[in-house]
Amino acid sequence: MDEITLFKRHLLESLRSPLEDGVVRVARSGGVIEFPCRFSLIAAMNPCPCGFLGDARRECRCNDLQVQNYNGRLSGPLLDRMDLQAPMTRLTSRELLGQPEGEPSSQVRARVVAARCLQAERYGASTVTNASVPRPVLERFVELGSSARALLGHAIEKDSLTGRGLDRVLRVARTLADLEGEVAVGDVHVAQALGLRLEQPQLRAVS
Amino acid sequence: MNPRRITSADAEWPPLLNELGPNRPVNLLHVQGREIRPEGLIAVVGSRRPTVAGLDATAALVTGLVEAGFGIVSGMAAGIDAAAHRAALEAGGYTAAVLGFGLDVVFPRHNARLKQQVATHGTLLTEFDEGTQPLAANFPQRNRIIAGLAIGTLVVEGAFKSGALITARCALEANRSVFAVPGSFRNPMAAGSNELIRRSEALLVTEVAHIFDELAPQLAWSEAPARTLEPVPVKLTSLEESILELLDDAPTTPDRLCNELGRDVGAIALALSRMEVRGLVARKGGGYEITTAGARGRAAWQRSF
Repeated sequence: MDEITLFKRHLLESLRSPLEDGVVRVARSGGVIEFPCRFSLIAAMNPCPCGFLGDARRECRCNDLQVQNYNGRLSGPLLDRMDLQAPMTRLTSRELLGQPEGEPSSQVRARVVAARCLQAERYGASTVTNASVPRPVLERFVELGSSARALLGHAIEKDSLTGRGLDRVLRVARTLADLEGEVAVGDVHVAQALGLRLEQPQLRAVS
Repeated sequence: MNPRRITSADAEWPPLLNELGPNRPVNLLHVQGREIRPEGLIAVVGSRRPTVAGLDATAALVTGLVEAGFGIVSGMAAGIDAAAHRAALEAGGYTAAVLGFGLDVVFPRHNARLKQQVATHGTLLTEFDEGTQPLAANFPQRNRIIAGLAIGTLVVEGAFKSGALITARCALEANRSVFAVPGSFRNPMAAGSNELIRRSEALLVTEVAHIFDELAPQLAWSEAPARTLEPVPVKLTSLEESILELLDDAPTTPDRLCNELGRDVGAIALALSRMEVRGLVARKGGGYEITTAGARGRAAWQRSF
């Protein structure tokens, strides 16, 4: 969904339960029908209507109300259900022109396949992944050291991480470890997983 | 104290306002809260969309100003204004908010609690009658009162055309000192405050002492405040040191740090998270900025060479 904040709010909110449960439920007088609905949601948005909020070089021309209305379409609960959130800032000309070519997709694919194999082996079923495994099972394979706990504790205390957010962070951290072929989830993976979530207030009013 | 109206005949009428000459407010102010402090006030104004560095500088300087004995005046707008009032209240100091609308109006809405706190522990004042809505046209008029109440005006991040710059202009016209915190030349929010410094209209300020030294003679105060960026040694790994060296007041993304330092994402993310927990860096708009605590740590270690 490109420009996700241009969709109507109630349409976006209707994504919440399919994202969480992987099914669409339609209730009619004859009964409730469930349709399978496992999908990957990829969405993009601007920081504000003019697109320059937080830019280092150009000044944002939107007023606070415009920013609030624009960002308000994407509710906290919906954003909270997104596993990976990455801010995109302006690239410098050096970064645009001088970047070496990235890794080819085939190499990335090989890593993903390897990580999926690790997960299938760990959970004893090829269809179960870090994203779908029940939390208690996941926790058996995510043992956190005291410094990783401190990082998570800090994020929770300053209100940038909710219960659901914590669940997502643990799953992402486990996956990052799998991608590196690591048996244990380290501080590095937890820190990276935390870095892959936006600060919630950053999307709310800039006060 | 309850809402009241004061005129220039009242003992509470701030004497400094009479020095505004033709710009002096019409002979009536609506006031709520404590009695208006008559002297030793500094106006702290700035962008409604500040950077972390701007908010941080505001908190550090206002805390220092309060400790040095000053009271803080601002306009209760979002951003720097609100941060200035909050820091003054937190430091147990006096703060006055000059509104561009009636006493009974709340604007912006998320400042409702702050407004209440200022009404309890400080003073709200306005020229505008009850029910006057926040019209853009009223704000410049309000700004001259902010400048008029204070013996000096401090600008923290003001864009080229901004209310903060209007307040600075009013202060200059009233022959009051103007101070500005320098910002990055890439930060559009600091273009106006930097310009004030360039034209020698504002004194560059990085320490409370800079303001104190300029104004203390007028006030016959003597006890000098502590330095704001006093180096405070912190234990840093070599990676953390290299990261702090690269951070400034424009958000830097972890990706950029990885490229600059040639380290992998995990190591950078871990170092940033750990420094965030220790308050040395803060997240903002998709990147990380250095905080005052971080800058103090950096100063300590850079001095040790």
